[in-house]
Amino acid sequence: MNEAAPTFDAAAYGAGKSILVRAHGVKKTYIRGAEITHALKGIDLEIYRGEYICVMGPSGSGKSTFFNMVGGLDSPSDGRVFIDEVDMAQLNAHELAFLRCRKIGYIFQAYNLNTVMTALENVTLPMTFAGVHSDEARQRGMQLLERVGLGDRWSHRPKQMSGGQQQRVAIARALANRPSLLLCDEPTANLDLVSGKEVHRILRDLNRDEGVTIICATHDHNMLEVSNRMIWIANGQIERIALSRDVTLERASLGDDHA
Amino acid sequence: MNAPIIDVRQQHKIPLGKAFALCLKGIAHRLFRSLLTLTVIVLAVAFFMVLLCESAFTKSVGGGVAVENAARRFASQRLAVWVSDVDQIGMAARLVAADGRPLALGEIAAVSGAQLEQVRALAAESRRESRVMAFFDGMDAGSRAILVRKSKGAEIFAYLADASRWTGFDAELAQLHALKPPMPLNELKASADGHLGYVERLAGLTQSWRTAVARLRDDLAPIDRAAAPDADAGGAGHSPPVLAQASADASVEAFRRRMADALAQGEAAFLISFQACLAAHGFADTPDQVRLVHDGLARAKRRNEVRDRLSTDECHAAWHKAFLEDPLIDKKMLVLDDQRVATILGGTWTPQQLSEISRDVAEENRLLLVEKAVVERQPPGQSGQGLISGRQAFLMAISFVVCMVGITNAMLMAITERFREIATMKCLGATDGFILQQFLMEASVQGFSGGLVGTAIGLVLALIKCSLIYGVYLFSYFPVVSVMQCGLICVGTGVALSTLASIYPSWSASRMAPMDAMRVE
Repeated sequence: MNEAAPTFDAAAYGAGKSILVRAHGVKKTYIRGAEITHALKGIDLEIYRGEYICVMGPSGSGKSTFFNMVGGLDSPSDGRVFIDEVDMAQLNAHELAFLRCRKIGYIFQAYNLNTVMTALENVTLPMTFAGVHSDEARQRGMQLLERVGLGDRWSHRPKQMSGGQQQRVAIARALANRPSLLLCDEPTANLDLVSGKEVHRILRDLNRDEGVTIICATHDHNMLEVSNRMIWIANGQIERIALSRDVTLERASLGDDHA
Repeated sequence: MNAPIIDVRQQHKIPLGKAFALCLKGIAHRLFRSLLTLTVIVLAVAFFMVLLCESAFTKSVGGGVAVENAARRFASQRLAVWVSDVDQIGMAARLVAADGRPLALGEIAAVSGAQLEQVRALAAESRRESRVMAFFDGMDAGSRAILVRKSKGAEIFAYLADASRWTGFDAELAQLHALKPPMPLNELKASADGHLGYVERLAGLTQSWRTAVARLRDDLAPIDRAAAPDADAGGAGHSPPVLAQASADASVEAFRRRMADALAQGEAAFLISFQACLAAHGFADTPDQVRLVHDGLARAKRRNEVRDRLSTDECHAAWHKAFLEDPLIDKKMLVLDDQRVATILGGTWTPQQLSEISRDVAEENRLLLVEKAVVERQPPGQSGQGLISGRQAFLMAISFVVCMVGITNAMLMAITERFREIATMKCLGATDGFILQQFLMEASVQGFSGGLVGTAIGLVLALIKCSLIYGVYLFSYFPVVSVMQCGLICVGTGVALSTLASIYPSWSASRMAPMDAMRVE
């Protein structure tokens, strides 16, 4: 049956789509003393505008490293990462900050909310960095909180909220400056099933209704149902790329729990 | 689908006010967590404040008490100037004290009959000589032996006046770098060369002063006689034998005592004629000053009378008898404000008068004690300018270094704890500069609050300590302005300490990689 697994035809898939993220021969090497670790061994990938991508892979596979490259949080040792045809390596610190602030939204496994701020303050923080007027920021922050279903909890602090609620605040925060790319690092790993589903639903709606490109690292198979494409990374290389609907079919036929 | 290409620009700079508001929000929640850092700042600042305040208090109380003591000594000092003879050293000291005070210089000129210009020049010279002497007295014996061999006191000037020796001295002084001559070398040389002439002129002035004072004594004697109580009965021209003897007595000291007595009990008319006599001889005392002298001497006389009375056998016997009846009488004797005590003394004093005298004595003793305490805490050489001495400054510097190391350490720990927050901020668009600014702001606010608390604690401690030493004088000469200045300095020190100490931790925080936000503990 394995030979029958549908192969991914990049050319056919990409036809007529505009590229948002392009990784070109991305390598990352960590040198610690005499020990040299090749975290990424050359990754070529194109991610199109409006896609919902799941990145899968065991820990230590280079998945996080790749993630950091795409998010402009780390720079490759070799190769290039383009976001909207802008070479990240060409940007200075302030431009990178600008990019992180407005073009990329980050969602973390541990939510990473500022514990001393209220939900609303957390959501408006990126807008403060972007120089949005505080009245406008507050207004938009409330809209975003309502959107993730937390309109009545704007004055709560993270400690007064459940994990699912905190992650929803984090999503609202990631959306603050209308990013075109949303990077989610295992967003549901710390959540229970119901909260995880809720987070999935919000992300799917965002992708579907607003065309936000989402790249999501996950082990959660619920993600499969909402994503377009899946990418497996192992040992610093792309192991496999597949359309989610093919994988779903595959899973249905195999009935196993391939991760 | 062809959306515009991302337009990448420089990240927006956050206005200072907004950044400060963000920083405050964090601090409001974290202030208690950084209690350790705060405590370190509070301790260092409090220590500093105690030192500064103590020194300010000492200065202020010392100044006030010195004025009070000078006022108390005014009477006897003034009397001595009027009637006692003076030698050259005393004259030089008077000239040094009068230097720069036209009134005092004028008096010396008027009394001794010298030109004002001459007196002024002599005073300036005396001041210079005294500075030279102080310079040589202040140095260690070794340097002194190198510079002027075995010369002592005025011999130094003779030594330096010698041209060949001067050349050696010049070279030797240049080698002793630590010694700063009190004046340019050519002035020093001029002073040494002019020493003989100076001594001559000083001797002349002293002599004419002595002559003038002797004439004044002659003139004062009849006034004294006129004022004496039994002179009224005898009428003018009749000299009671005792007074005549006093005026004829060669002993100036005895005359001074007579004069003190006469002044102490002098009536208004006597004081007026006394003052007129002084004025005729060139003394600048006003009637008010003479009255002050009268008051002071009268007070001293009353006290002496009580003291003399207390030491008589009769009084002792009465005291003993009273003690057998009431052992508590000893305590009452200390206060003197009691009818029975007045009876024991058997004099003409009322209890009110006695209590006044006793209060006066107690006050004088307290003032002397405080003056002594002030001198003890004011080592020579720093009485003037600096608030803290070199040793204290060294202690302060050490404590500041310790404090800064503590703060740096605590901040570094706090920053490793907050790596996720910092990295997340960077993911959300914070620049390195913003992070640095936030941490520096946080540190300075911390320094400010720690400084305020430390200053308050330091002030209280200094108040407690100094009020134990100086008592009520601390509050009657409370240096409000200096204390406020000290407070400002201390709060500023707190801010500076904390900010300086947090430069490195803040910098390392700002360099934290944004990808650390992805780390999962």
